[in-house]
Amino acid sequence: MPIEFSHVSFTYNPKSKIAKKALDDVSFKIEEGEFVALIGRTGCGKSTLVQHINALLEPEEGEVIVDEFISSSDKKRRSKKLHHVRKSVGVVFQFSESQLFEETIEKDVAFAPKNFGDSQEEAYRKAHEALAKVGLGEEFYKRSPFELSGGEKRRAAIAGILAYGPKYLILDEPTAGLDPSGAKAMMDLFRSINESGTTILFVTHDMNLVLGYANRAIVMDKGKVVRDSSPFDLFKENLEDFSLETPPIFALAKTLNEKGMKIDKESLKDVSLFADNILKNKGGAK
Amino acid sequence: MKDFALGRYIPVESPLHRLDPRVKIFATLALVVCLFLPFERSVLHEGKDVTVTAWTISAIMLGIFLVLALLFFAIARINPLKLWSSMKSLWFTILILMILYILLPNFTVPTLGIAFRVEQMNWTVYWDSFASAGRVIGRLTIVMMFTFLLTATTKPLDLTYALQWYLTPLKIIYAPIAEIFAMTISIALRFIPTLLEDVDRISKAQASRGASYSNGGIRRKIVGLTSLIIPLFVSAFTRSEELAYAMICRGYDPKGKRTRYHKYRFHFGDLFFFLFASAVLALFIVLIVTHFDFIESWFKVSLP
Repeated sequence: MPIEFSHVSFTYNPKSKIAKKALDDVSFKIEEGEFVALIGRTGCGKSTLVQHINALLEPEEGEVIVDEFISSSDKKRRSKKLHHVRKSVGVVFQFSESQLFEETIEKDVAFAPKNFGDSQEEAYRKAHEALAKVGLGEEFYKRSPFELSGGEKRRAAIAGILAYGPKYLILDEPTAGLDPSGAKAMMDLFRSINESGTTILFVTHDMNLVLGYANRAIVMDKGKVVRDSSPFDLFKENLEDFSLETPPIFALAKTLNEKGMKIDKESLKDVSLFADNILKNKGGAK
Repeated sequence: MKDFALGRYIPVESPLHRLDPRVKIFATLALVVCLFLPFERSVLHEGKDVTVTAWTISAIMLGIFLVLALLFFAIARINPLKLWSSMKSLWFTILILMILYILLPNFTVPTLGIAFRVEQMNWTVYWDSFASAGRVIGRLTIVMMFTFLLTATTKPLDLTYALQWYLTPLKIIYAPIAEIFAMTISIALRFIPTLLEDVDRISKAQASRGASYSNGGIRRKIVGLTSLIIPLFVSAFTRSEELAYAMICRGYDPKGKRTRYHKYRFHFGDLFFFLFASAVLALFIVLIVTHFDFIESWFKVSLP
């Protein structure tokens, strides 16, 4: 089983006045090759859940299994080799630009591959590849990460994770604070990475991204998983209880559907596909 | 980090918590000074008058202070065992102190007798050494209890205010130290939890990238540590710049006269506590200056 959560609970500051239950009996499985969106209001436990996947936090109750690696509340069952899980799971944290520290960008991006046992040349080769993927060309290699713009820093930080080619990519609000075209380019990059076989779980507040990219959406509320379905099925419901918003394009499709137009649900992923769908229905397709 | 109780405010409702912070600082200082005053007496040694430590009186006084400290803990409704976890880390210091006092005796004439002798090396260890070590440990413990109580019952900002109040005389020489001091301290205190959060966040991000702070060779550890420290500095500097701009935008003027939301008023309790601490200090000074041996004069016995 690639990623499996079984009855995971977690409490911050247990047994104190400020104890806060962040995860409450969370169970789900993620298969290889999925592109999963994790959504829910702020403070519902998304980030806590993310940190369980590569054993930065250990469950208070229950088990998290990633391939062979077991992170469990039961000490006897717990796997010892953190290195393996860290290598197979890449986490891009919120505001990941704050992790940059080296003198040059290529050195910073090569940090993780080197940590996971690559030679100097190998690490730099992977770094260059990753930088090319995120759209930072050769002219950036020798620059200091601290003189970049916010968006460029973010991309350098994401390259720092992509560089070691993790099998599972966890993205905590990867597009927060990026300009719209930069965000789209980033999400398209993640889609292509997903298509080449990497499993992706991303946390977001942007429902358009959920509809446009994910093939599955997990909704959390107050530490529990409350919905786990395809984005299409999810948006059919009234989502205000979870402080989620139906994407405008979906709302439009729903209204058109109610008025008798047939909508192909796959076309909702992209505005121009959706437009073609409408034109075809109107009989005016080119 | 979590278990470290020393220097942390414990929010409970108690008379000690309500006490004016200025009085509390004064009382802590006064009691600590008393604690370190030496009790001495004269003995005749080889035809000369020699001053030696009056051990019985010292021990009684330490006992009184311990009872006093525990009484304060009770009044403040704080479990003294909370201090225990911080004290445990002191056992090594205590051991070193013991050894130092035994190897390097610092008394002129031993009055408590021989503890043991190593004949071959012609080396005598007197009970006085153990008494000295015990006294230092006792004093340190009680100082820790008092200072723990001070910080546990006083909000950091109130402490800053009190310190600032004590520095007010510096205004005579036109030094704006009090204001700058107060603002610096309150900002520093405010940002400790924020920095700790940063440490947590950044160390997790770097751990995900395979950085290691505890495993691997020394080189790896150093690189791991720089990967934490540099981003931490960067974020601290960014934050301080943002904070400075925010303060300027809201019209902060370092020369401006500060007012306080919460005015301190001197209550009867404050006065009482102030007088109590002053009285203890005065009594001790009198006892020390006059070399008054109350055991000898009251019980008609002479003890070391």
